[in-house]
Parts: sequence; structure tokens; C-alpha cells
Amino acid sequence: MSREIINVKNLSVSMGKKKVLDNIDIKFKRGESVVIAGRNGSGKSTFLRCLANVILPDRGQILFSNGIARDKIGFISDRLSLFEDSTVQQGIDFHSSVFGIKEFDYTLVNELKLELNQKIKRLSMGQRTLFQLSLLLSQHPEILLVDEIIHTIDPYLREKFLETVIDLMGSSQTTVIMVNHTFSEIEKIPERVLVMEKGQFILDERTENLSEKIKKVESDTPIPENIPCIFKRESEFYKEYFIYPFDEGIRKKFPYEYKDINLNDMIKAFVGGQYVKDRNH
Amino acid sequence: MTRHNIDFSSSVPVYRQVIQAIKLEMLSGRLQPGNQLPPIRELAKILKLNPNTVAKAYYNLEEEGFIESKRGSGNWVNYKNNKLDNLRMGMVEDEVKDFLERVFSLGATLEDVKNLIERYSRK
Amino acid sequence: MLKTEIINVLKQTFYFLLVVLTLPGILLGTRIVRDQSFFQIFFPIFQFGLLFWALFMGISLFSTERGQRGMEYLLSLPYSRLWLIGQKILPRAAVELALYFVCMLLYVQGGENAAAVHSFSFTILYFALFCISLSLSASSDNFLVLFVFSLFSLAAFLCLVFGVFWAALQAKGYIFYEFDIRPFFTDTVDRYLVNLIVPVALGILLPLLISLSLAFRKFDMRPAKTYNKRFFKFFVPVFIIGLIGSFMFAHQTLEIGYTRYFLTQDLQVVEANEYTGVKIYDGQREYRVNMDVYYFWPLWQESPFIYFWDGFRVGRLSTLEHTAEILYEAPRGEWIDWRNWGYDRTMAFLERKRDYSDTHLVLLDIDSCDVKKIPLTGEPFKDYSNCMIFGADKVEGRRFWLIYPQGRLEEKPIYQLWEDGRIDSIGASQKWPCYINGTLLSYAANEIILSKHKEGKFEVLQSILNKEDFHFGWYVHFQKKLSNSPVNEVYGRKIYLTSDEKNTGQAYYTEYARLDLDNFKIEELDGLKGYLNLYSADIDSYYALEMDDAAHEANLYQVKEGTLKLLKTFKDVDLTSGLNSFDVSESGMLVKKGNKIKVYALPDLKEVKFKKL
Repeated sequence: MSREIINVKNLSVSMGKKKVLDNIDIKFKRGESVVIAGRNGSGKSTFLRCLANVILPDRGQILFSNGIARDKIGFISDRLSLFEDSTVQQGIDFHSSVFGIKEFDYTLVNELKLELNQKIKRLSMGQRTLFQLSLLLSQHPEILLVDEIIHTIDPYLREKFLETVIDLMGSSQTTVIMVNHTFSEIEKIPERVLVMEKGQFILDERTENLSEKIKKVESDTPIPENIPCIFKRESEFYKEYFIYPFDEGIRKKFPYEYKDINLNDMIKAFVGGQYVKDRNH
Repeated sequence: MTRHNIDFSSSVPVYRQVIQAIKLEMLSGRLQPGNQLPPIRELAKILKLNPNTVAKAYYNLEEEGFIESKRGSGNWVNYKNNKLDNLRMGMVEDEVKDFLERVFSLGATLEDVKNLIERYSRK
Repeated sequence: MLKTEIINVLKQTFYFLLVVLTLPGILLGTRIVRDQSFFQIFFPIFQFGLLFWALFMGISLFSTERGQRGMEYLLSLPYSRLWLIGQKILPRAAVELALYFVCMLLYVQGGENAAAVHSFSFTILYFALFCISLSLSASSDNFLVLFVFSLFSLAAFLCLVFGVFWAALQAKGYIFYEFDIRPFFTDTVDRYLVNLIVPVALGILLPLLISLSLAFRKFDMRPAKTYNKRFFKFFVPVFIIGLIGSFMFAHQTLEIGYTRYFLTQDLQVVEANEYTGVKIYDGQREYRVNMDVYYFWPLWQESPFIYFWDGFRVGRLSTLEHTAEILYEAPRGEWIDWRNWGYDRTMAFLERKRDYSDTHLVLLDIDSCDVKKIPLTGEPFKDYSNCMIFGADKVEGRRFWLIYPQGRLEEKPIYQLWEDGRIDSIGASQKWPCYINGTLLSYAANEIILSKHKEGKFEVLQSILNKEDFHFGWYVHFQKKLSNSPVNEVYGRKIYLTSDEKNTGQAYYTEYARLDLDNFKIEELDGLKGYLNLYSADIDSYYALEMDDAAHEANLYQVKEGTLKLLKTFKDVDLTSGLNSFDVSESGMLVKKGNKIKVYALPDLKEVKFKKL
């Protein structure tokens, strides 16, 4: 049986005249961990919201494999949308009643020392983030969608958040799809990297392959044009070139020193390249 | 093994680095046969890795014969004595190779290297 | 989630009721308002409060989510959009209805006097506001925008409702009708209008709700513009359909003013309506009669003329030329009584001022249009200002008319009015008297007194025992022939009210009898149910139309010498709505059911087709 859990077909979403998602076709497997990167306004959040059923597609469909009901999808975004005037306990009760949770796990709530009578709007961003995460966890989600939330909270809570997600991945084969701008902390968590630009995926690779496919060259002189370069920075003193897709043939043909780069720099290269493209148009 | 930082930008696959780190623990004696390794989830959390990566590392260690995975109760260190010696020698050899590569690229000669080794090993 | 919604709605309703209940108390307590009971101040506040409440309930559909930044959360919950909106609307609709019933209950219990808005208009406004504000609730995040837009939409809605009716009236040719909407708000709206306004209102409101549910299925976190576009995409076609449907409904069923139909001797149909005027249909074509008409009442026919009365004029319609001419017009401010009598070529009728004062007997020569007026002042007419002519005759070349006062069923005098103005008192009668075959029938208790004119005055011939107190000739007043023709029989009726022995469950119950004018024998007629309308078509035969309300049937009989011959039964007849009528005249029968007219010619009752009718 295929382990496919989400199948997106011809997904298109427009906001007014602007096409935010442009005919997207993509599949996700059960237990897969994915990070989606890209410029602001590229459509990442919209894509995630479509998966969460918060935004409905104009065209195309999102198919979930059998057995995945809507209540098995957990979604958290930087809007941290909850009923603010409710207290923590009321929020828990409401969420439990909607998702049919009989016994709520107060571990995270207790760790954060949240007062159950406190109104949600009085919580700090960090507290709210982890509170919402604990709500999602109580659903035992099969799919977890996280939208640009890591960088808005302090490092301690950030680590806590990640540890909770890793725990979830390890314990229940949850598919995790995260939209992120920073990658240093989550460097080795996702197995698959997607880069989105103008409503389309311009990169879809497994992380283990990526380090073999993207290399950096630092040189004093410009490198030949026929080396596939997605981004370059050329100044008087320093020139660096990011090569994609790289293969051993290129190394044989052009004997430069090809350095490995981390995920953050890879994404930077991709995104930077898009900015350059825009400037040249 | 948490002391050994995973180098995310290295071309060495992460799971290999984890394996290496665990082996070092074993070599240094901090992990003895019969000790339990941290559960996959826990190690993943500590190292900020994908649990699959840790699982892969443990799987390889089991294949190589250093640990034993018992269903339901976790992963346990279990190796034969000579295995460790072989490992030690192998790792030392790798270290020396790397070391020599690095010092020679700085332009040192074998004589310089030998002299320095002797000087510092006396301390 | 329904539970949370219900709790929220109830909480809000509680606060609303609190305000509505304490405000009158404050007004009374601080003596801003005096001399009124709590209820008198409370009820209008309650009414207006409810109207605003209906508006608020609608536009606040998503106010909690919007105010608490919980919209995205709400949409991410595992509920379908339709389910979500259902959960939201259901408790609000329930509270709406509950409060409405409370209001109506209070209205019936005395609120009617204290009400600021009349119950029907209140109902329309209340539900319209709710529907309008509900359907707009998803189209903006801004409460103020929604509020203002809802009010504009309400105004548009009211204009449309009246617009539909105006358009329907125009389409039907009601050129004289001036549409005044004030009664809608202040007066009791009659049942007929209610049955019209409600469907039209629904035809305009339902598209809003339908569009809401259709558009909401794709509601999401995108800016309101996206949703609004989708809403209008559904709304425009559904609304046009609703509007057209309402218009067609109004056009079909709307009837302003009373339309009378009259079958002529030569089987043409005259249609008269105070707003659309007079038209004549001859089976092929429709002719508009060029005349101003206020009220058209046909009096009698003398081919090719139909003599008619319209309140203050007497005229005649030519069925040949399809024109009308006025023979006599009452002076300004005066009114012609329609109870008139003809003899030879002279038509006699009473003319009086609107307050029944200043009565004249007017004698109009049909051919020359010469007029002679005899003032009816002095003794008998001072007390009984509302009299009627029930007979006329000529004796030794002098004409006289018989007059009897209108009023309660008690003994009243009968007068003989001579052409020269002389008035003779000729007895009294407990019921309307009847003058047939030169014989005066007047009524005493269980007795009919027959008198005849002999040697200058009326003398009693005999009295007949009228055990059952039948009233004969009650229909004779409707006979408008210019000459009295001898008849050999007259029919009578007796009306029983429910308190009578023969209680059949109806409000009244009638029995009929025949009085033979040769041997003066009374025989009761059996087998007649319900109400009977008797028409004397000509000298020899009567036609009776029997209305059986219980069985919803009408039967047409030919009545001759006490025997009834059933000619036709009309089934499925509803006589209570006022939109149906059955008229029998000498040439045939005209049946009106709603907007359909059918004509049957006598004596064979074959249907006559009219193309334009």
C-alpha cells in the first residue's frame, strides 16, 4: 500500500487578481517531515492554510488518504488564532469537546505553569504558542501543520516546541509540514525541503540529497557561465557562487573547491536567486 | 554523545555522525555493555534530529554488532570485547589520516610532524 | 459547539431584555414620562428594541470570532462550512422566533393599544431585518459597515416590496390608483393584503438566505472581497428569479377595488372597476368604454342599452357602440340612492346629501332626459331620512311611488308618494313590503296583509296566515324593469340564526317558500340548502343559485311554480375569499373564480368563450 497521506492536485488559489497558488501538484507521505521555505508572499502560508481547510481552493483538490478525518489535522500559525476571551481551561474544554478528547494531557500546560483561569489573551506569545500546541497534541494528529511560528518565540520555548514536535514524530508517525524562515535549529529535522516561489514549488528534494546537490564555490575570479548557478555574490574582494544542481561531472569538468553548506545557506541561495530574477525583469 | 556536536554542514551524513559519537562513548568507557542507550525519541530531542535519523543510526549500530535492540525495552549496548579494539584501531587510523592530510596541506614535512608529536606526547 | 453558541446567544439576549425592562422603569422613576403604566412605556420600547435586536442578531453572527481573533481557529475545526453556519444561525433563529411569540402574546394581551408599530408591519420589518442582516454577516469584518449596509438594504427591501405591487398594478392597468403606504404602518392590514405582501416579501428575502448558504460553502480567510464576489454571483440570478416570481404572483392575485362583471342580454360581458374603468368584451375583442367611472352598477337592460348608476350619475351604456352617455348627474355633494323604480319611460330615484339630509324624489325621463324633482321634507321624512322606493304604479293617469324607510326590523310606515308631491300614509309593515301585480304585501306578526289601490287609496283585501313568518319578495327590490309585468308567484325566505331550534352549526340557515298569487297559498320548498339567490330572468322563470358553503358547491336551479330543476352544479367553490362570484342574469350566468371568468348562456348553460377575458 502506498504510504501516501496527502495528494494535492491542480491546486489554485487567487486573491483578487493575484494568483497566490498556481496549479500545484504534490504528494506527501505518512510520517514525512517537510519544511517549506520561500520568500514572503510566495504562497507558503496560503498552501498550509489550504491543507488546514482554512482557505478553500478555487480550483483543484486536496485529497487525504482513507482514514484521515479533518480532526486528525492540527494547524498552528503565527496568528495564534484562539478564542481570546476564553480562559485556558475554557479553551481546553472547548477543544476537547470539538475533538472528542476525553482526557486532556496537562503536561505542557503544567510545565509552562499556565493558570487555568487566565484569559488566553493575557498569555505571552510563547505561552500561547505552546498552549495551542498542547491543544493540537491532544487531538493525536496524523498531520501537523506549523506556519512560521518558531522564530516568534524565545529560544527556550522554541526548543521546547521542537522537542515536542520531535517527540510526536517519533511516537506516532505524524506527518509534519512546517513553514519556516530560519533553519539553523531545525536543520536536521525535516527529511524533505520545498521552496515555494510565486505560487509554485521550485525545489522539492530530500535533505540528504540536497547536500550533494547544492554546493558553494568561493573564488577570486568569476566561474564559467555553464556551471548551473542559482545565486551568486560578486564583490571586489569576495565572490561566492551557489551551484545547483551539482553532480560529480561538474566537479570533474570544473575543478573548483565545492563546499558543503548548511540548510540555511541553501535556502538563502534559492531565495536570493529569486530576488535577482525579479530585479532583472 | 551529546558532547559531540553534530556538524550540520558537514558532508558526512548525520546518522553517521551519531554512530560515530556513540562509538566514541563506548571507546571512552562511558557506555559499557549492558548500559541502555537513550530511547530514539529522547536522543532525537536532545540532538534536534529527526527520529528517523537516530533510528537509522541505531539500526546500523545493531547491524555492526555494537548494540542490541530488544522489542519493547529499548536499545542496549552489547558487544564483544575485541570488537571495541578493532573499532579503536579503525578510528585512530581515521584520525591519523585526517591529521596528516591537514598538516601536509599546511606545508609541513614528515620530519616537522614527527618532532612535534614527540614533543607534545611527552607532556 | 452548538452549546457554546446557545450560551452566548442566551447571554446576549439576557442583557438585551435587561435593558428593555429597566429603561421604562428609569423613565418612570425619573418622571421623564408620567401618567402611563409600565406596560404602556415598555411595549413600544420592546418593539423597537426587538427590531434592533433582529438586526444585531444577524450581523453579530461572527462577532465573537472576529473580536477574539478566533476566525482561523473556527475554520480549522473539523466542521463543514454549512454545518458551521447552521450552528450559528440555529440558536439565533430560535431566539428570534421565541421573542417574536412573546411580542405577539403581549400584543394580544393589550399591547395593541400601546404598540408603536402595527403588528403586521412589525412582523415584516422584524423578519426582514433578521434575514437581511444574517445574509450580510459574512461580507465584512466591520460591525459599523454591516450595520449601515443592513439598514440600507432594509430600505431597499421595503421599496422593492412596494415597487413590485406598484409594477403589478401598472401592468394590470390600474391607472387611477394612488399608492399610499402610510396605512401599512398604522392601520390594520386586511387579510387579503397580508396574503399578498407575505409571499412578495419572501420572494425578495429568500434569495438573500439562499445566497448566504451557497456562498458560505466557500467562505475562508481571504479578504471579504473574495466572498462578496461569490455572494453576488449567486445572489444576482436568484434574486432576479425571486423578484420576477414575486411580481408574477402579485400580478396574478392582486385585485384593488372591486371588479364587477355584468352579462348583457346579447351575451357580452361588461367589466367595471373603479381603477381600471369600464370594459366590454364581446367574445372576440375587448373594448374600453371612454368614461370616468367611480362606481358602476347596472340597473336594467333595454337592448342595446344598459342603464347604470355610479353613485351620483345615471347613464346608459351602448353595447353596440361600446360608448357611455350620462343622462343625469346629481348636484355637487349629493348622492343618488341606487334603489330606484321605473314606470313607463320614467325612472324614479331618491337623491340626498351625504348626511342623508335634503332628500328629493327625482323623476327622470329616459328618452328626453327631462328631470322633475320633488323635495321630501316634512313629517315622515324628517324621522326616516333613509328611505327606499319599492314600487310604482299609475292610477287614472297619475303616477305614484311607494316608499318604505330603512332601519331596524320593527314596524315602520309605508308611504305613497304622488307625482304632484302629495304624500299618503298607507299602513305599516314589519319587514320590507312588496308591490306585485298591483298588490301591496305588507307584514305583521305571522300575517301577510294584501292591499290594493281602490278608488284613490289603498284598501286591505285580505290577510294571509304566515305561520313561519316568511318574507316574500325580498329579491324584488332588485328588479329594475321599467314596467311591472304580471307574475303569478313570488318566493319568500325565513332566516334562522344559530340560537334557533333548527341549529345546523351555521351562523344562519334559510328556508324558502312560495306564495301563489292566484290562490294566495303558501307552500314551503324542500331540498334547498344554504343561501339562495333568486333571479327573475323574465316573466315565466326564476333562476335560483344555491350556495352550499359546507360542501363548497353551488347549484343552479330553474324555479317554476314551486318546483326546482337542477341545471348545473359547480364544484370546488370557495365563497369566503371574496374573489369568487356567481351572477345570474336574464341571458346567462357569469362565474368568477379568482382571475378566471366563465360565462354560461341560459337556458342550456352552454359555455360562451371569450378570447380576451
